[in-house]
Amino acid sequence: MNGHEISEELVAFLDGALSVEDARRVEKHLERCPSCREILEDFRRTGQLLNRWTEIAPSPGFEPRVLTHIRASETRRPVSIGFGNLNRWFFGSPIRWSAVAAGIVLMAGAAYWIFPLSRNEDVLTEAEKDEMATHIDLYVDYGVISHLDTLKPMDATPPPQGDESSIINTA
Amino acid sequence: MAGQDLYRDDPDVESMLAFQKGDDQAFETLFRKYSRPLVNFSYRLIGNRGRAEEIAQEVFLEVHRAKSTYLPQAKFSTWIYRISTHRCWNELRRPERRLMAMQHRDPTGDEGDRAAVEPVAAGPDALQHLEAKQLQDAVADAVSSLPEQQRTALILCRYHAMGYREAAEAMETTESAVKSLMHRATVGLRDRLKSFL
Ligand SMILES: [Zn+2]
Repeated sequence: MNGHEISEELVAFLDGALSVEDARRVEKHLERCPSCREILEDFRRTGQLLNRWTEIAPSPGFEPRVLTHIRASETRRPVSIGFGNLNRWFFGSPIRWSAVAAGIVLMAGAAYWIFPLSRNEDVLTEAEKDEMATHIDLYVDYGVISHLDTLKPMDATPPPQGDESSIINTA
Repeated sequence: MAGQDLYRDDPDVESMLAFQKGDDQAFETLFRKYSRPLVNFSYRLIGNRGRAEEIAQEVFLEVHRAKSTYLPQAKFSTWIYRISTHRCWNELRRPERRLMAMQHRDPTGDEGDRAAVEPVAAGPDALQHLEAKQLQDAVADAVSSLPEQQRTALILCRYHAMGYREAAEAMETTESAVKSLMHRATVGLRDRLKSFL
């Protein structure tokens, strides 16, 4: 037994993760073992090198985009029905199920028009709307726009009416 | 609740409990505190910036949905990193990812940040920038080439200041397993980065 097996404890030793007795045992071995001291030094420098991999910044608009997404999906989330009997009644008969489902669709449709304030645009603050306008391409890429009911598709840009297009058209 | 008392002094647990009581601002506080660290955690673990941001978003959605059921049983950071770890591991196990398993970091995924260390003109500064970039790439490649468990433990302990015990909780393993993973990870990195030591 030469004691070099403490080299397996050296990373934990550097991390201060050893018990007092174990740390003392490692220290004692290090005092008289240059090769383990060298390993310790390599481990220490390896740990320092890791700092060279610096953090990345999230992409522009990340925070408001995610907050918007979370609010939008929570607004749209169906409220679960906590009454076991109602669930059994509801799912027990396909006819009842379809009748109730149709009723819900009708009511939801009516509510959509009667309560316009509950739509997603009102979940956004003014600052967030500005932020979205600035990074609108990102929101499109991430599919956030699909959550925003009130954004109407833009009208297709009419073809240019200038002389050049007439020349092309008549050519 | 005993669990609640145990983590009462964690301000993030306080925020989560406040959110539970209807304080939406408390959720935003947590979001702003953790969004950047979580994006970086996922990015270092899976190597793709776009997916890292999506995973961070999924994690926060999960936190938001835990509003009514949340019961503190760990520090908030341990809990949120546990959720993130699971999602990243799932991502790494997706079959289409295995095909590109060795191509860890998406070269187009972090162009913005890489551009920041790109030399802008010739000269001693430019050389320094180039060296910094090469070293950063070497470190990133070395970490990325570690096996998944070693990489996870290393990222939690070295880039997120976790002790072995907290990392063990986040990875749902034992402290001695983390100790062993950290030893093997460090040996692996030392061997891969020998020319920079
Ligand atoms: Zn020795």
